[in-house]
Amino acid sequence: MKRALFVVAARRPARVEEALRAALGASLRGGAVTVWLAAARARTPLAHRALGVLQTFGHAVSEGGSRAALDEADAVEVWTEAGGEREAESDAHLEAEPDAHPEAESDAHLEAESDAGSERGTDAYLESDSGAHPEAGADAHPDSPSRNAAPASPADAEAAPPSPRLPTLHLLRGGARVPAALLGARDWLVTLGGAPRLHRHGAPPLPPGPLSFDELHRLVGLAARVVTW
Amino acid sequence: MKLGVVLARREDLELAQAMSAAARRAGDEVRWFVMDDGVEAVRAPAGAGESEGALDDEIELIACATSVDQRAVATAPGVQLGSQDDHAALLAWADRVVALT
Repeated sequence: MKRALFVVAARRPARVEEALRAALGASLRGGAVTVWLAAARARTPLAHRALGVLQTFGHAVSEGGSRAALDEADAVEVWTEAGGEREAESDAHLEAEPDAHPEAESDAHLEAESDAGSERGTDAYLESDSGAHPEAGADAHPDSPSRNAAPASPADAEAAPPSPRLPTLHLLRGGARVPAALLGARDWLVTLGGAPRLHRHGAPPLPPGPLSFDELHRLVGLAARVVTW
Repeated sequence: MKLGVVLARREDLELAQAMSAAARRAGDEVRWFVMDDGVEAVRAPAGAGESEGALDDEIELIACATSVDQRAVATAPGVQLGSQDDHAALLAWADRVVALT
């Protein structure tokens, strides 16, 4: 049985309702659905009804989420605003756990690679993987030899069954951040908006720096799941 | 690998296309389910000047008929109309899901 996680971070009632309609839809083939509805989200009558139906059928609904629940998900849909309204809600998903997102930490893990050779700012996420970043400070050019020698060959990209032991690949659209509580020490981070860029966090199998979409696809196959924020 | 893409934001069309093209180059199967604002991205071309080449005809692409009807969208050739059951089917089928929602 597949497990789908829906993170409802949008603010507009119509968008919230669409997210919940999608969550209901995802349950139609017997899959387990979990909904995280960020606090103070619109509770229109339609949204109430959708949440009620989900709960009636044994699906989980909560405000905010946990890393453990993320690790159980085969697929994750983060519902943000659409049609250029993202800016207004860019922090919406962070409100679910207001104490878990110190501003400095959230930015630190994205900026770590610009400080080559230093792990400053990443201690909050990395357990004790000193030396686990063999590419630290390496030329981040996509065609560098180290990148070509990385173990993630197309054959490797044949998808392994999702597992909590595999990292989660977080894709960050413009300005988005991963809630600190949901970022595992081994997870990989790629910022989008223009060329994808792989960050050092989680000791990824490719050197940090610009990624081609072919390389990004390899990471998709190697990760347990993909979460687009 | 079987890659499922859920597209619910028109502004993510290029990203969906780029990730799908990479998957296809790797020999992977790709299917899309499109709903809500995402159906605006699979509109039929409005005129001769608008490219029809944006959607890969090797990719199975199903758009939520409810969203299409709500927005009175005429979909591009090759786009099938479906329901949330197709959304569930996509999630069940895919090895990995990229949700652009």
